[in-house]
Amino acid sequence: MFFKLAIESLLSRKGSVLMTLMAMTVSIFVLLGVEHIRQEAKESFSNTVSGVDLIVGARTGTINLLLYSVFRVGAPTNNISWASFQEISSGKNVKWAIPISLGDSHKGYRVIGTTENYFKHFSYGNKTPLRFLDGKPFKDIFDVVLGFEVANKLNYKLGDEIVLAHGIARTSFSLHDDRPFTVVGILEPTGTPVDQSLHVSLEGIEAIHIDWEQGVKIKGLNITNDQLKQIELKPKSITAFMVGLNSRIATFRVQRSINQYTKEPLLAILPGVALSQLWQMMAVLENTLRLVSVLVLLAALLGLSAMLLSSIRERDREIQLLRVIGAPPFFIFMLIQLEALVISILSIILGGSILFCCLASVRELLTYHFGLHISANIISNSSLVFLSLVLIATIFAAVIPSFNAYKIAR
Amino acid sequence: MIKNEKTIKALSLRDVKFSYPGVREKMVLNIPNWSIEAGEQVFLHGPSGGGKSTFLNLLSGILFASQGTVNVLGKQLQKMSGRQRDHFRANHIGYVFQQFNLIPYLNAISNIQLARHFCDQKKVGQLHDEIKNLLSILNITSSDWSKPAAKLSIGQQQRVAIARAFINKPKLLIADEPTSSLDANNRDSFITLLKSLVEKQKTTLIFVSHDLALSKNFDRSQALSDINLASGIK
Amino acid sequence: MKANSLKTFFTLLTFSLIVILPWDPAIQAASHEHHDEHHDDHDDHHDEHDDHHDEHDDHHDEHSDHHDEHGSQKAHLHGYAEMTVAIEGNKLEINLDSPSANIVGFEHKASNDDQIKTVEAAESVLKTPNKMFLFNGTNCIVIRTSVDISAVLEEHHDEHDDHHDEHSDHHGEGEDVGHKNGEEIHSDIEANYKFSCDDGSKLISISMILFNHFPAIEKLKTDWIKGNKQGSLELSSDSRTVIFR
Repeated sequence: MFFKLAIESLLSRKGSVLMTLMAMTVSIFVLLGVEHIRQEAKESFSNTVSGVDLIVGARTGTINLLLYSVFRVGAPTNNISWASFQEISSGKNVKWAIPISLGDSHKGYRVIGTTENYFKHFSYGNKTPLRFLDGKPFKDIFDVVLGFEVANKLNYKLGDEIVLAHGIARTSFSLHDDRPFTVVGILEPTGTPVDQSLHVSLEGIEAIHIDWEQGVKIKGLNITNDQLKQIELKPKSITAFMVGLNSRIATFRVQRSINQYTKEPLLAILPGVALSQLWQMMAVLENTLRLVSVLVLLAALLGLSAMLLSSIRERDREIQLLRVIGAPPFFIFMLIQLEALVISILSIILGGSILFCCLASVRELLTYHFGLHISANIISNSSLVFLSLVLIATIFAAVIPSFNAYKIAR
Repeated sequence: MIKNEKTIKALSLRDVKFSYPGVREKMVLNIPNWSIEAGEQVFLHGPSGGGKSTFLNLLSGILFASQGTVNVLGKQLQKMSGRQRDHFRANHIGYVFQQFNLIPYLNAISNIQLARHFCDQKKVGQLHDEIKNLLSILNITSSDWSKPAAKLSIGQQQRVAIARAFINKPKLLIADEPTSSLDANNRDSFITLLKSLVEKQKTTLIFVSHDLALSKNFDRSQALSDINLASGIK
Repeated sequence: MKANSLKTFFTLLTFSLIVILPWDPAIQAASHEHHDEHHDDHDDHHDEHDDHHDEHDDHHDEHSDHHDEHGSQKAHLHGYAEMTVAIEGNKLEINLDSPSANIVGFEHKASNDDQIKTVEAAESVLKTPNKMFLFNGTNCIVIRTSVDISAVLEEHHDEHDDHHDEHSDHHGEGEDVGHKNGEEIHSDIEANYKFSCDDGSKLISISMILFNHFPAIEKLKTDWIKGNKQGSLELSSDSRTVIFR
């Protein structure tokens, strides 16, 4: 009966209640959304690379190197020479090294030139290695291994021939159409940018650029694939490389020696350290977003309080009546509290569902464009904590109108 | 006047003085001695504002006297806590006002259920039948049972109010100008229905009205000014 | 539409990161340019500095500006130092690298008895790991300590006399931090420690009590590795504990 009274009372004031409900819903949507995306983005970033001790690239910002080498966000400033790669990767402390060469694409998906080491040593999440859903690593110059999503979205299967494009624009006019690649392997889904990548050998990357100059195909120069096999396709430069060390304790020493490498300016970063630095920088942004979402919630709660307060004035006689039929003043107090909580809970449900729907519809775009894997599952420990805080804040916000009603009842 | 055999008074007030906080010097009520026998039907009249609603609130325990004793159905109200008084009122006292007897957004049935909510007897299964029974007796057609109270006519609202007041089988029924908003037809049927229920359940009734013409329907008729010696007009 | 605006947002985000980053001392630390190309300009730069920085009585500030200007091998910011902590198994290695001003209060070879005493006192603290670090969770014993204070306690510094002429107006001493033509010379003090811990996995945090002895260190950028985990944080005398998580 208590509950029914609160519900019916709210229903009888549809207009103002609906407005308040919407304000609360929006604020909960913002609050949960900010918190969720923040966490998921961190999670997603942290899971992208595991077991890599150092990433080495041309001298640039630490985070820039991390972003383009691992997350394929942004563009490399410079390449590094193959000779440097060979010298450093043959160091006695280096267990393995994975070269990476970026710059080409296929229908908007990035192409990575690398070696078999990529499939042997690269791991993500909690040291999970890459696994093949189908096929095997590339062997031939024109073999390509597809990330799960590439194969899935573009409907490719083993044996299909595909053409790579120069540059990373989705609709590139400079296609390497004279040298199609054959799909030889498809990787299992990883939930990392690997899913959106095509992997070819460094020789393959060299081969498609062999009769190109400055990003433009040289007219009239045509080398057949047979001829190609005669030419030595050793790459001259690569974008970056990842290093696994024999002894982790030496990581900083190796890092220092790479940073002091004299033959060309190099930058070695520890992916975990670079991520921490990224978070440190994002902290201001994060806190700002959080602050804004908390302020939005505060505004909505004040709106709720104001709405209830003005309703109390209209409900003077209703309260008297309840008193006459035996309702204690505390009942009246709780009734107003319940009304506030009902609005709050409804807006949590609404805000949560809308957020869920939005995430579900936007996550593919996020994955596609930024390699960010945001799950639509918004129920986490911290979101539950946040929602309980919202409920507690609601109770506090409703104290004033509730107390007002209580005073009338006394 | 019917002489009552029962010795227990339904109501007795002795040396009751009341004034509102903040205006202490101005006494609203001063009742040296007044009582009603159980089962009696008393008509009280007086101009509106003559301390009438204060008096009734005192009887129902919403307000309580700063001095003197108010004894309702054998219980001294000022010896009870606020909680106990609320409880006592829910269980034993029915109330009908001139208007605004019902929660406007609840339908007739819910309004009556609500009255039951605060009282001790909560057998829900029976409750529904009881309510339907009462509403039928009170000539509310079943199609109106689930309309929000605000959508009913005033005559219907007052009759639902009777049902609400009677659902807990109160020993005391206080009717405060219940017919003042009604036209003559509705008024007469209201009083008839009220009286039939009061007699059937042997309820003590205090019926307050400024309309002296109604006094003929009740056992005893008294002017509030005869009981209340406080001269002040609120 | 949605995709576009989202993309714009993230692109802006990335872009702003890239723009902000160069100002981060951590990155400057890494930006190592070959000095030879710039060397000829040095004198011009200094002249400019003299004009701009008349109000700077403290020659240290002068230096830090100078270093930044040239993107030299280490971010030479006073009050700023760097540390790395690596834990693998029961082995623990800590490396501290700080401008000498943070440690001894000057940036040149100690030239009088007071300064020599200061350097010796600092060296003795640096060589006593117990005064530098407090290990929480397990017990660690120092195996090897190496402290390089050559920047403030050494004899030969002939190569860069030419610099000093401009500077001497400011600090009055003939000594200076060297700019040895782009090579590994700076006025940094470096200390390296190797420890053996009872149980490295139980080492949950290290408190840097070195802040007690070297209050001139305001920010200590600390990169750490513990097994699989890596992290980075900026310590200060208010928050002086690295927690490995």
